[in-house]
Amino acid sequence: MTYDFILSVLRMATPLLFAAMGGLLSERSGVINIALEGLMLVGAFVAAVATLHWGSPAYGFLAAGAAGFFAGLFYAFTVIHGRAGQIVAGTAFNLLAVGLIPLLLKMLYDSTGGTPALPAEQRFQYFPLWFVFVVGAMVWLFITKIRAGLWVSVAGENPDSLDAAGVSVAKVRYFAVGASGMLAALGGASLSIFLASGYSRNMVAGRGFMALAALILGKWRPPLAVLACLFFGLTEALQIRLQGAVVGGMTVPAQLVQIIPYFATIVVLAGFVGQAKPPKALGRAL
Amino acid sequence: MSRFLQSLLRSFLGLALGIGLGLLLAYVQGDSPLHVLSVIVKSAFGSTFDIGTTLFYATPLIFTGLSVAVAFHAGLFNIGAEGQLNLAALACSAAALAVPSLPGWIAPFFALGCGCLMGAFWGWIPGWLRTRRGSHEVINTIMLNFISAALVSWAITAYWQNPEVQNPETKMLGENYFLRSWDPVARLFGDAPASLAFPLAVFVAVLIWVFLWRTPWGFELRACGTNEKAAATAGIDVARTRQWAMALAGALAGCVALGEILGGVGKFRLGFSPEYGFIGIAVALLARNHPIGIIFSALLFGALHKGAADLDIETEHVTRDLSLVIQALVILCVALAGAWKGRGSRR
Amino acid sequence: MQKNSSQIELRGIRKVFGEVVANEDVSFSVRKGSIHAIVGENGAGKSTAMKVLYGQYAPDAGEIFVGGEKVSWRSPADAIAAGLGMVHQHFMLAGCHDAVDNVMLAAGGSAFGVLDYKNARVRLESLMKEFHMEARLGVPVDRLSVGEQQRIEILKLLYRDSSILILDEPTAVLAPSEIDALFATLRGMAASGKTILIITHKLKEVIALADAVTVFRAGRVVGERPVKGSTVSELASLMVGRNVSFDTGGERQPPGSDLVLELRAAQPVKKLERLGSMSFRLHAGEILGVAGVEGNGQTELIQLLLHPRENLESGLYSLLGNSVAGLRSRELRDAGLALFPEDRLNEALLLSESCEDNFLLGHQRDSGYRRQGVLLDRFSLRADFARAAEEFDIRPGTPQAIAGTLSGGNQQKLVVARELASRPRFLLAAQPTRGVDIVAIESIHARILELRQSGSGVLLISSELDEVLKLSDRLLVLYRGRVVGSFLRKEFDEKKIGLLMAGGHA
Repeated sequence: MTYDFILSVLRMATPLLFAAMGGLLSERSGVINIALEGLMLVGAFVAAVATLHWGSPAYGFLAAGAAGFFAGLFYAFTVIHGRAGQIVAGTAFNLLAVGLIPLLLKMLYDSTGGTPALPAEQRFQYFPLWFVFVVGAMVWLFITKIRAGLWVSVAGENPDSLDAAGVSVAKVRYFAVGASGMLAALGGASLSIFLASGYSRNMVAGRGFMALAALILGKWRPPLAVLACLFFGLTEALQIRLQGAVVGGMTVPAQLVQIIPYFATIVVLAGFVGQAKPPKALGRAL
Repeated sequence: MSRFLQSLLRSFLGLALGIGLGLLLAYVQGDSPLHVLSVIVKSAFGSTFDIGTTLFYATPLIFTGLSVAVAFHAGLFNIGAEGQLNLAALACSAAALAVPSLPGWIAPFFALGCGCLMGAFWGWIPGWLRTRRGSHEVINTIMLNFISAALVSWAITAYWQNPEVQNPETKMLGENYFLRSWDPVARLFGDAPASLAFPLAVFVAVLIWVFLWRTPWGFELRACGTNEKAAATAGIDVARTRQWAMALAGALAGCVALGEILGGVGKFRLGFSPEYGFIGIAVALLARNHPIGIIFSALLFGALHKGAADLDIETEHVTRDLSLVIQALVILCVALAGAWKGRGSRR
Repeated sequence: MQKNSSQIELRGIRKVFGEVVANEDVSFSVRKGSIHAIVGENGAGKSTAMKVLYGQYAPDAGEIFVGGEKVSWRSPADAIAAGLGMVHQHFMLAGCHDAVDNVMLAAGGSAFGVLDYKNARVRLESLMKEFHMEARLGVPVDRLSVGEQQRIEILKLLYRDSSILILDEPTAVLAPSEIDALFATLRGMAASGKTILIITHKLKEVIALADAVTVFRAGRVVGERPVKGSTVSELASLMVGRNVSFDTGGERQPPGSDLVLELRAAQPVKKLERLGSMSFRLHAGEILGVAGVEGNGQTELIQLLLHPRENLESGLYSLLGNSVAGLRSRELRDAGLALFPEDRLNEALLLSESCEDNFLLGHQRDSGYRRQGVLLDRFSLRADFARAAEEFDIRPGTPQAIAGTLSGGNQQKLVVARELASRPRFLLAAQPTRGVDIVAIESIHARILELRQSGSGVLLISSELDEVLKLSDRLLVLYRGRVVGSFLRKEFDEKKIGLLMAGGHA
């Protein structure tokens, strides 16, 4: 394993890590977050636009976080006060992001394909790569050491008991899903202003769902979820590396390498390897 | 009866609200909503060719809508129709290419049967995982979608690629498999890809309605969805019923091959589905999972899909993506309208 | 404080839900440092009054005084802040967290404060010592026993210094020995100045524990008195509004000799670990009662009898002389089994569906409801339902009425009508009258006796000892998954049976 390869693993894992940490907050609070995919799209788009506008990736990153937070709140509203089904609302949210962003691109740049390319000096060199681990550690500390973290996990475990303690379950869930949107958007931002130069159509390409899979593979626990993201990053990097590679006279089918993480998620979730127990009240409306 | 009317009203309310918001967006972008609407309507229904194309899009949506609805009635969420239909369509064309010289009266049945079996198998997997291993079908179907996408893309390039073209697609199927050679419906619409598949889809929808509400097995399936425990206590084998339901859902998604391959195009094209599986969720939701309602909501979404295609050229700012936005808004509005009712019934 | 030394006082509370008057002119007061019992039948309004007191419901009229001050709660949070605390019948615990987490959760504090586990642990341990309560710390609470979970619930309130504790049916899930420990703890707390309200319908416990009692009937307070000098039968007739008969239905035919059900060394699978090996027989025309505190294997016994294919590891299970060990539950039903499920709302009914469909549930494959072999015959279903609704007095009897909108009693009558429609040879009646009004109880009891009379066998599983005593010809006591006692009707002795239920020796 060369240094280059390890670096590429980490780069592939970065957007997943952000989104998985976000998804973890949301799911621990009891809200299934299929919308991660759309939230990442929002982040990628807003980051690119804001960076182009202000000329610095730091602003792009911040703007993406803020936009993601509000987008997360919107999703939270549909499922908490709107009482829409979480799967249905999440699917609709993703569809909305996929449809709305090209319309906005057309308004801003008269093209539905993507933003103009960012010059190299307006992209992050390394920042998201290490910052994401700080975020992971913070989420872990938050869940285990801070009172609000306890609230979040009780909201997903037995909301009635949180209610009985005089804490509003709805508020806790709004907060968790909002934060989840923020983190997912940062994941999207690291796609458009770190890994690539600018937003291009459908650049998230299922990473939101992968993040969801990773956090489940990580059994809804931050340290394990980080490992799962790294594993996913590894298979992704491997797949790129193997593109067209010939081993022993046979072309390695790169698409099949892609299957590994999804397959692993199914296997783990089915309890063939250890037990994965989701939060008890996951998906249950108030 | 009043429950039925209420839900009909709610669907219409959500629909009107969703379309209204979408057109409002067009207005914000600087186009006249009326113009946008007229472009969509004209493009969807303006000529026999347009109508034929709309029906071509509506056909798979009926099948995926039914797929989602059947699973839903059994208490399961089938997000996996997309993966099921892709693998099924591939299996359908692969079967046809593998046995090229079947007589014409059985060939389409054979190919469709293979496709449906593949879809049923792919749908059964998450059903089995849920009922025997307790893992949630939503995550599993999403994972299976990815796996199916990778499998299909690999299989095409590795085995069935038509060497004469650049695009990842198979060779044309033989005439004996192709409905178009004798299809009376296709003749009505000239060059449009509409086919016998549409009336067949409508017929299947009616069959599914009869199955769900007028047979003991449909009753058992629905009982598993309304109250799993009560169903089990009443002697219904919930696990088995749900596995069958998911297999049926997968087979229905697999029927997409009927319109796309046997009726319309005659070959498998990688990425042929503009996410029919996901739009099927919207179709089923708008119809409140009622098979007959699904026919109409599939027509509506089919028309929207076809109608939006001309927005790129015919309007100043709005693009075809508006149809996605409208679909999303309709889903959200219907889902929220449902909530509004749910609220009313609480204390 | 003011002239009256009452810690809590309710005056003229009225609470209406739609057209149902749940509370009307409810007034009573509770002395500081006393244990006060609130008794009444299901639906008598005692829970509503407590929820009003606790801020969960806003009263439509009337006033609440706490410590002499008039209060008006906007939410339970206000009541909690004023020192009230409630142990709900269904515990409010976060299952995958341990006792310390749960206690800290209930104690409140600022959202972004760092949790001080060490301090909380020390304080919790001292509270446990002071009030003689034990609960394991550091173990997820859903792995603890019911008694331990209840103690954690009480510790939650003590930890946040609640001075008024409301306990909703605290003994429903406890074994008698645990009940004694709980009572000792409660007396200790009252002695240290806490005010305790307990909601219950078990009058013997009221006499044993409380200082004063308030009796509810039909939404009103019908009596308030010190416990000293009151008797169970006096309170019972107040509660029910007439003299209660512990009548047993007069002369009985002796049971037949044909075997309906036999279990011999029937060993359940590991999943049903609460139940041991079972051996007993049930004859035609016999009601065999199973007495025991809930959670001693009753649920598992039902699962074993209903799903032998999945749940029977080894041993004999025969129905009407045929071994049914390998059968699916539908086949068992075809062989003559019917069931009143334990948990009506979750196991017996499709609440969102029509009464007619609920009547069909379980009979959907009967040839009588089929046309051309595949289609359901709605016409004959409707006719049968109409007949049953009339015969069993189900109200409303409209086939399209949604089952969830019926009252508890009518829902249970619907279940009874459905299950008896097949003229079962073996009826498994689990908690047949739970949450059902007194008129429906009598009608359901009559049906069970009728079925016995017609020569079927009935296995009656109930946590209401009185019910088992009233109906059974023979009775088994279940304790920790084993049969620890067997009595013929003429040997019924409440004291002995109660002792066995508690794990003692008779």
